[in-house]
Amino acid sequence: MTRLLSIFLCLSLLAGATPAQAESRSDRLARWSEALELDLHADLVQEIQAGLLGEESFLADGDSLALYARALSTTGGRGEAYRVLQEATPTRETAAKVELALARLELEDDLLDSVIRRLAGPDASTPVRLAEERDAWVLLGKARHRKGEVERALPLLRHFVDTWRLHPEAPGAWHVLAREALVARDLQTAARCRDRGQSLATWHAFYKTRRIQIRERPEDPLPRFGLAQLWASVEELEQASEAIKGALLLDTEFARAWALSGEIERKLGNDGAAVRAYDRALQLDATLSDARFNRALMALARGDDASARADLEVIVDSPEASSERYLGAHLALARLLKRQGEAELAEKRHERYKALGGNESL
Amino acid sequence: MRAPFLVLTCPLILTACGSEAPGDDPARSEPSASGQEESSQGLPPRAPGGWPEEAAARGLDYVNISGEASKPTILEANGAGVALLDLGSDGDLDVVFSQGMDALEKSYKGPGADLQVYLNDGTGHFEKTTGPGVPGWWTGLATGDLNNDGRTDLVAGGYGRLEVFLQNEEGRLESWQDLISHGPGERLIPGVERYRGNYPLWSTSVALFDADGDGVLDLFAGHYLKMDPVAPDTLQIDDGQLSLPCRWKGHDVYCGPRGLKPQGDRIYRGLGTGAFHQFTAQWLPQHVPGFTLAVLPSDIDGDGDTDLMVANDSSANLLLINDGKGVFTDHAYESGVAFSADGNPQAGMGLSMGDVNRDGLFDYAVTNFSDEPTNLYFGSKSGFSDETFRFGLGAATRALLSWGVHLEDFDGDGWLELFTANGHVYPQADEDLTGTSYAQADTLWKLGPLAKVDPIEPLAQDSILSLQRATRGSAVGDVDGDGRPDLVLVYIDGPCGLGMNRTGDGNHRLALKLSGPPTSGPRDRTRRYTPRDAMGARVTVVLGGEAEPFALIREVQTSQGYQSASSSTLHFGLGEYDEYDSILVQWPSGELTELPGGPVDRTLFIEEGKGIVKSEEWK
Repeated sequence: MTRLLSIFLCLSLLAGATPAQAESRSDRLARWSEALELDLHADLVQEIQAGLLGEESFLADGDSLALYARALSTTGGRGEAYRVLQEATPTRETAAKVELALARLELEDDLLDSVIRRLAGPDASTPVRLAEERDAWVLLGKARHRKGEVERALPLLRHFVDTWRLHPEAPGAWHVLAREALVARDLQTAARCRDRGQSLATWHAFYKTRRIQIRERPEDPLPRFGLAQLWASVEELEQASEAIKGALLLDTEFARAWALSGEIERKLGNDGAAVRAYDRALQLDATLSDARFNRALMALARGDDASARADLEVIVDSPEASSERYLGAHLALARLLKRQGEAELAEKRHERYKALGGNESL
Repeated sequence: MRAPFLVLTCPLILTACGSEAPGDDPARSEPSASGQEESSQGLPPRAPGGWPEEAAARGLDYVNISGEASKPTILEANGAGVALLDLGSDGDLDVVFSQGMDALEKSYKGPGADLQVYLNDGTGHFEKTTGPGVPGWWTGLATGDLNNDGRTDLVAGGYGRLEVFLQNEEGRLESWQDLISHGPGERLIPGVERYRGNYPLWSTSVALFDADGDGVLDLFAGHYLKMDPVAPDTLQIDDGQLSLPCRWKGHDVYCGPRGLKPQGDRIYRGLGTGAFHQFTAQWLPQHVPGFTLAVLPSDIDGDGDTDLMVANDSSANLLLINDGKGVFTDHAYESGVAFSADGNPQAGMGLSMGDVNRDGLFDYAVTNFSDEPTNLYFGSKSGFSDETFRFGLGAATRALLSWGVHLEDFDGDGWLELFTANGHVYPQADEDLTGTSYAQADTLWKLGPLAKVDPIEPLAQDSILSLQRATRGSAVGDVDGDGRPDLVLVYIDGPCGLGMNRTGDGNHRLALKLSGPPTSGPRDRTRRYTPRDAMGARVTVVLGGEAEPFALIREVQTSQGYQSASSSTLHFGLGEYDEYDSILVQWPSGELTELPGGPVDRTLFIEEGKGIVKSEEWK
């Protein structure tokens, strides 16, 4: 019963499909942004046109209007998108978003000079207006590049990818940098930029897939687990922690999720939470050697040699013991044994370590 | 070691490279307007000039069949192609259409469809004749003289079919070789029992060209994806952590290509008898399978052999550069044609080439999905520059899903236009708020020296530029012998279209029909030869006199667009010039033919080693 209740609560909080009455502005903007990223523009247009269009607060909210315009522009309402933005009277805090949304429409309509007029800064030291807005850099960079102003485009795009590395348009910016490096015959830079762009594009493809899966199957912990893995892979640990907690709310006996939770908490420096997560993971599945190895290393770090030795001995005697992945476990155990005065056993463990390909001294 | 750049070389007449066009742009054949949306409103039913659709009036009563109207699988959405070729050697263009069936299960339960053949009476009127009688779900068509007997033959791809048809002395196409002779389930014969878990080899666009310079045409077969006709993926792809619904803009749609597995392309070496041996391992050694929909042969790097541009759906395009011996290596990424300007793989559907800016280098047009632009890539000294957005094609083509594509000087003003055959894959495109529609009018733009594409508006309701259809394959050729290239169009699930070119009345033109020398005896492997149908020959026509010389270039290739084969006759628009200054033919053998200036508004028949063998003024 408790589990059912927790699943219900979790679904309410995480599903993201239905706007709650008390939804905050920031939550609503996040939900709308995600809807656009997941190609659900029509849903957004319908939601806004069903109730918000007449509201004064909506019409003064540049962030909301910008998202609405983007949704309109891909659902056949391009003229309406321009009209909404051109007639908007946004608050000072959100006015930049309206301007950027107009610039985006102009870029999509190949009005490159308009984008440049709108976003170019007054001089070389201020190349971009609205410089605090990430979209200003990428939109102006793309417009200049498409117009053939390569030398002026590249610094903008470099700044963009360095500052907002996970932005959905970062792979495209990396692609431009790679292409232009090729033209300049800087093959090393070209290869580096190409690899960055392609790996990031792959990351975004998985990111989108996981979010679609979460919307489709909000009760399934697997997509949330995959999402946590994705965030962890790019060291976005707070996001990863949030995602893995979502998965564990749905299935408290998901051993691999506990193991990943331990890993994320460890990297966040939450040692206590990490050890508790590893403990739970290993209770549920004693064969999770990564969790055991990490728990052992944490025990070593805090001087709990007994716990560390117990885990390391399990690993080096496990079927996976000869894997290169656990080479370090053999060495760590050998050194621990030496420190504990068991020289002969330490030597034996070190010999095994060397036999498996290790080359560090005892 | 891959070369970092594909270096494009300017053809022989260096003085012509980069030269300016003479005078102002002549008047358009049909008036342009700012948009396409209200194209048929307020137009008369018929009008002189323009692009009247005359298929039924001229006897082309082909009706495409492509599965169910709801398009439950991707095969049913992709439609058919068309080929223009001379059957019976009477000098006019006849038409062959590929054809599908009305339900997927008929692809294996039968009965299959035959190729649909229409004979031209020489005036652009057609009569249906018996097809070759080979059942299948047919897709792509390629034309060329496979056995160097002077008659054009045909290769037809299909869903589980890849068949060679030779033209006999009576002008009939006869089945000669089934190229899918083995492999578990690759061959799909209607009526032959089939079990789930096997994937037919699905050919899309196919192309005939000479890969190794032996004067014999070889075959590139583009392949699409693995789809089991007995148990196709519907609604969802994969299981568990990888599962995804098949959805587009919130609507349930058929599955693929994303999430399904691509099938690798294949290449076949022609033996000169009409038979082929598969040579994929030897000639495509590092091939990465994509979801191939189009292939376009051309000597893109100007080194005398034929290269291949391959448009892939939802995966990187390929630019396969020939080493001269038939071994191809992909250089698409470093040449700038693999991805969109933003580095994304696009849904490449169709391909065409031509020298848009008259700089002596070939340029590519690549059609794509809706919300993706039709790309325009200009050839440069190091790869290609993406001119899509500078020409305004991002905005102009965003709502269009385009297939067949042609860079052709339809109005004869000396500058190429861009034609795209349009129509969505999803019937759900007609739902509210998709930003596009299932039926779309085909589109024609002026390019030339303009800073932006300029849409050519239809003059009448019966114009092919007015009709809201869902076009797939398209082919270019002068079907009525008036010197103006016409358009044959395959509308999915409906009657075909025949756009009669009534544009450019005041402009002069020239058509060239090339042929290689008749062959006899064994070939010297150290030499290169020209195929009998001159496939791969490049022609430069010089105009403008000494004051303002400029050059127009074309190459003999029949495969272009989507799953289709156009006429091998080269059409040149000359605008105000009533004579040309010279013609240079670079034959695949390496031989050059230089012809002095002469009169225009005619078809010149040029044979390697002989020069002009016939000159035929138009009616």
